[in-house]
Amino acid sequence: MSWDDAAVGGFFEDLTVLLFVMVGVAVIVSAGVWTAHDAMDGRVEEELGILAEELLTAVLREISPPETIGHAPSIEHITGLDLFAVAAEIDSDCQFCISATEHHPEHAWLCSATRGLPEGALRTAYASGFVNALDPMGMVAVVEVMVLVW
Amino acid sequence: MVFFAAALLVTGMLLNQSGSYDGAHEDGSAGFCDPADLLAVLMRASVGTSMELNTSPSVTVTGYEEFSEVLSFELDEIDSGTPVELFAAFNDFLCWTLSCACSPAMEPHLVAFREDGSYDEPMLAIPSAPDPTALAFAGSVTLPRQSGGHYIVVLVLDPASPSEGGGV
Repeated sequence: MSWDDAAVGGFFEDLTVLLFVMVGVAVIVSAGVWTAHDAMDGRVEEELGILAEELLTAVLREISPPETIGHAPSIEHITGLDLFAVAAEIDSDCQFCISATEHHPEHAWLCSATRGLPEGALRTAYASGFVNALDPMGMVAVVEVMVLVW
Repeated sequence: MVFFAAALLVTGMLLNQSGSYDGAHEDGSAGFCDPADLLAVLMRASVGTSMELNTSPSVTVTGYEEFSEVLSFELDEIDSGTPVELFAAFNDFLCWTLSCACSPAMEPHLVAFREDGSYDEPMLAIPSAPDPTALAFAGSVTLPRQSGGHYIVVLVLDPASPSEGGGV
């Protein structure tokens, strides 16, 4: 009776090749998954950034409509804004925090609106813009509108 | 071995693509205000407080005057040879106002040039000229010059040296 030594040896030689192939496939698959995950993260962040910019533009347009260019709105107009209604026109489902702050000549919080809680939010986007407004003393103030979405 | 080398090559390309995608979205400006926007709004704002400039004769700035009007006057005076130190009170106030309005992670520098002059030698730099090698964000406005032409006023926000007392 003779042993099939050659076949057994061939099998173990093939195992080494198979190991190389398996490692190669594993590396390609893991890199592909990593890249896809990164691309998806980037896309979500990009969409959030666009949403923040759109919200900011909508609030600034509400504060100072295009037809009133050259005439600064009053601080009272800003404090009386319905920021939830402005946000609803852009995206009724988004979670956000919008606030307006006077930086000059006084330092004052003017108004804010928050929908949802940012606790646990993995991705956020931020946008801010400045606008002039007339304060009760008749001075032209600097007001910053800040938008955070998640 | 050939297959393994090809796998490494493809993996490297995929990871490189991933890195370039991330890099394309990290321009460093996220979360910071637009300097041109801030500067334009600030220039239209009232000074907010009265102050006396030690020029000859002395000039009183009322709180209702716009920053752009006072800065134009200052640049005209500097253009005619008045020392910039005489406007220290206004310059300090302008610098402090800028610090309050921009992100606390940024240090603002306001630099003014003659439109037809050299950009290597600013007429005015508040509080100092920005580091030209630093990564910074800038925006500009023009102000009218009494003798004709314009001044170019540039706001540079330097994230490399954040202000300590500014911000909200």
